[in-house]
Amino acid sequence: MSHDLKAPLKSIQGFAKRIDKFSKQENFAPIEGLNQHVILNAEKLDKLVDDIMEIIKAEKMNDLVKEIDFNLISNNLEDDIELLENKQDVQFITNFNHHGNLFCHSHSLYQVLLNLVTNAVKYAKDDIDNSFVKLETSMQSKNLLNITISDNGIGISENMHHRVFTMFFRESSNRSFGTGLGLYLVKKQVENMGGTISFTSNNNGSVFSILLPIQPNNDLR
Amino acid sequence: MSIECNSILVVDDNESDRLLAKFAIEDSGLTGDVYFSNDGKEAINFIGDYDNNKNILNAKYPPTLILLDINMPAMNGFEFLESYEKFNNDERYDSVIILMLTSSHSEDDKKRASQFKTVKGFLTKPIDEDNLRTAFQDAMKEK
Repeated sequence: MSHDLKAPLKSIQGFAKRIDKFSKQENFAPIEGLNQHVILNAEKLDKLVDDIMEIIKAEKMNDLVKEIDFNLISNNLEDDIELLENKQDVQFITNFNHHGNLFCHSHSLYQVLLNLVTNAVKYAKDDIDNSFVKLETSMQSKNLLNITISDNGIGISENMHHRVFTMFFRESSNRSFGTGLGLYLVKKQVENMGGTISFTSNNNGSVFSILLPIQPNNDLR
Repeated sequence: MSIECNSILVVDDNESDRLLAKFAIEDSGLTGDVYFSNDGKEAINFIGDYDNNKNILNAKYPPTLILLDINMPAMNGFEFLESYEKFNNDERYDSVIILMLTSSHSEDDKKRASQFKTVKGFLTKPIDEDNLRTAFQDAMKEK
């Protein structure tokens, strides 16, 4: 784990030393390119720290238990994923078929759904024009809500399935966005809300399924 | 000071680190072409495609030195080493030296890497050109 935490910092150190060397040689031409790597890695480190803070927050479960409005969540998700690079190519579909009122840690739930939905957008296929991500709810039982996030993206290779919820998991180097902490955090947050998460995935897309108790138990409030 | 080396394969998924490795190689005095793989899977495919690569790269293949990062998607450094074991008894690969790259000083990683006879040393990132030169020369003396 320390590799991944330190990696962007080590890159910054390396480029700073190079910039220093070129400055002393009064060779300024390469410096602009090297600066871009410093900026890129500083941004990576910033995001890494944010994700680690979210993990710490998830451990403490400080956010409020509130009644969840899925329509509001859906609107907020649409606003957030609008900012993603290839959002315009991916259709966001919702289908809410649950009944009863869900009470849970609202910030955590939103983070979970945001993570899963943005992953689906980021890993959409380049070569089709009907990419989608679908957020659906239904009742698994009287007290258990089923939330699924499904997509028709590139999917996760079967030999990587056992690693999906581990820290710093990244599928491939060609499409490795983010810090690799997203799904680890998702699982942690779901479990802290008293729920479970599972998934199926192949090269036709992925389906993440979350089961949450409608009412959190007293330990989780 | 030039140190002869047929070619070097840098296996690292991080573009910044590949560039830093290239700088360190240039400053270390190691000669030879530098190739890059984005992860262990690409690297093992490159290593394994002997006839085709020998035909194209001739004396520059297989690489004399592999700089192998540990944490990579698809196939990490240790998974690469496990997959590379099949080449250990193939004399065509006798000249290959592997140095592992790491962002941390992990004794567990060193212990794990010591099980693989082709791993001749560790370099901590960012790679220092003097350390690279020394590690390569020490590994060559062992052969």
